[in-house]
Amino acid sequence: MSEKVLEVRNLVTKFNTDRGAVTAVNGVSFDVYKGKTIGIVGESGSGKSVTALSIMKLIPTPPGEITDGKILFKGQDLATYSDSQMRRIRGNKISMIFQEPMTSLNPVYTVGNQIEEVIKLHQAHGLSKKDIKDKAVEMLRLVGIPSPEKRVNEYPHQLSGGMRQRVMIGMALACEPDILIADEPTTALDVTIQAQILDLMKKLQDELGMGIILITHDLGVIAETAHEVVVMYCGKIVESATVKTLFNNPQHPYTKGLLESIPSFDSTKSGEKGRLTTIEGMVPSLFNLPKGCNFQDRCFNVKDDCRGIKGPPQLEKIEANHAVSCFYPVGKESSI
Amino acid sequence: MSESPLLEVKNLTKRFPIKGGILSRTVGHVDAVNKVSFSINKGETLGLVGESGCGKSTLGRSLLRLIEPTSGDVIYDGINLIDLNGHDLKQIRRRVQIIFQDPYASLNPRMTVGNILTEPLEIHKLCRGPGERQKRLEQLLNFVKLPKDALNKYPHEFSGGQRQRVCIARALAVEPEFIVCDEPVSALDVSVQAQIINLLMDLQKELDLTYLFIAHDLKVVEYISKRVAVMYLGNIVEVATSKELYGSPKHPYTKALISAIPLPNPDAKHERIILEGDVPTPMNPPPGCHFHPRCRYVSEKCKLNYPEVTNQSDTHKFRCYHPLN
Repeated sequence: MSEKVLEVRNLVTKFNTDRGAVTAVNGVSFDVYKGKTIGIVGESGSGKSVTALSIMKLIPTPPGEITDGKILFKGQDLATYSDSQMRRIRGNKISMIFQEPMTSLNPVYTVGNQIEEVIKLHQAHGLSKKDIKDKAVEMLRLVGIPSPEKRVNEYPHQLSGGMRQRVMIGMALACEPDILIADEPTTALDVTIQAQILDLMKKLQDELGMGIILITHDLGVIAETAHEVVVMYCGKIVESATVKTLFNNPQHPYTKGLLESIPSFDSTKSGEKGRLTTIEGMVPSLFNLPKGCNFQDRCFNVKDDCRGIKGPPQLEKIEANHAVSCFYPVGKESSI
Repeated sequence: MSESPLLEVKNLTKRFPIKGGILSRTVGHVDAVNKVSFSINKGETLGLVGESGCGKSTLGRSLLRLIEPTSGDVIYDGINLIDLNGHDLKQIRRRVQIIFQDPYASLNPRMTVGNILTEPLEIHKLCRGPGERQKRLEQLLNFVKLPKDALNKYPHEFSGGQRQRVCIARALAVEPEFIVCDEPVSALDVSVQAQIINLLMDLQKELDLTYLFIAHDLKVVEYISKRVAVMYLGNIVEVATSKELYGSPKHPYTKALISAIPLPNPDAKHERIILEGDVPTPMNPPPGCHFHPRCRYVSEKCKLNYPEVTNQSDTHKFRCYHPLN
């Protein structure tokens, strides 16, 4: 196993709202390794983005607050870091790219300016203006933008969506961070552009060796890029495994349901398919979570003890690298 | 394919002017939909896929004359919709409906679901008396599997999937035969997406509906459609049954689109064709075949003329000089 760069332990993030406190992230733990990608998958509201923002300590306080847990980056607990300490980490050691590249780029600065800013803030010792500019051009070339010398002077609106996301990646990687957090990096992009961006991220990971936390709702993207996966539901990890184990042998009824609700893609059977398997009902409100297992009302395998007698199920290892939080995991043999 | 088509589209074109300068003069134009022809049979689902900006939504809206097409014919059940006006157009809109992508934006936040569903009934004078109307509303909710108490609630009280159900119920209110589904599931989570797809498929069987299903997700389209058309920069570049299109695509663009879909199977080893570059702007499309700057099989011929339609079989048509085997 390669070097561990980030350990998240029992992370709890709460938001105080007018309607009371909600726990958006509830006891999440996972590790990020150098040169590997961990995928966080879940539906809207499952807490995957809040987990990412908590690691970067970008949760607005108030109303949000990290109330418990450790974020160990190379042995140092980021949870205890002050704002100014965090500023030296963000964009330098840990970078983040977001879903919507247009809203995360500043429209009134050239893309060159914006990449240079990162370099100036973190690595400016002894670099001349020209060196910094050259480095920005170099980053644009690295992320595959054609004629980077020209593009470096353009504004975000002059670039296409895919190009903007490339600029974001270039900016995030300018200081060669140890960890790249990618929050739905391809959701806003077309499928052919998505393929380009995922390919680029893989290539850069091989070259630069950063650990990637990839947040997405698309299990296809996970299957193609992640090494390990955690599945989140209502702020908790319900299953974590290596990517092959998760897809071939899902144990949590939610994971299984998610996998089955994707329209299967089999060109030999096109046009003659039956109904899709669905997960009935919808994600419960975080204000009003059921006692016991959060998934009980939608679970096809629900038993009486899931409803609170035994308390909520804990994430337990069932084999090395495979943990599930369910009283009655579904084995492969019971699959339909 | 003996039955006559329910909808026949011939050379449909929508040209938008580009305004520029201080005086907002027309400085150019965009052919968002460029001489598109296709047909849909009764009871079938035609999928329409393409990347953003390829004109698929403009096409869907031009059919219903929500956007006024520039030229071409839309023949629905023997009637040319382009010639209709006023009362006749209103009559035909009872038979053709549309469901939009964003269930958040397409419902009036100040109307209850009951009002939203009553409006089309009143416009088309479909229900006599409150008793009959109430029965019809309940039937509509039953179609889309929403509880009866939904009638007195406002859109914000529902989740995305439920709102999309309300939109579907609204479209069904006037007993249409043909529904344009414009990206109806793209804004939804995957587990909810499956519920809506199932619902649309059930309703199609139950009410004998015909769909034009517009989406950018090829997996969803493959699932729901009997035939699929692929659009690129205002033109349909390939149309075939799903089996033919996904099994043996002829157009290099179709093949690249299919190979770009991330498959939820980590063991799958499929050849990934990564297209270089972006979709060109329709304001200034490349000459000849619009796809040629991104195509790996490009030849001189492709840069000069747009290829004509080639009939591979009765059901499989494409526009390319270098079809794949």
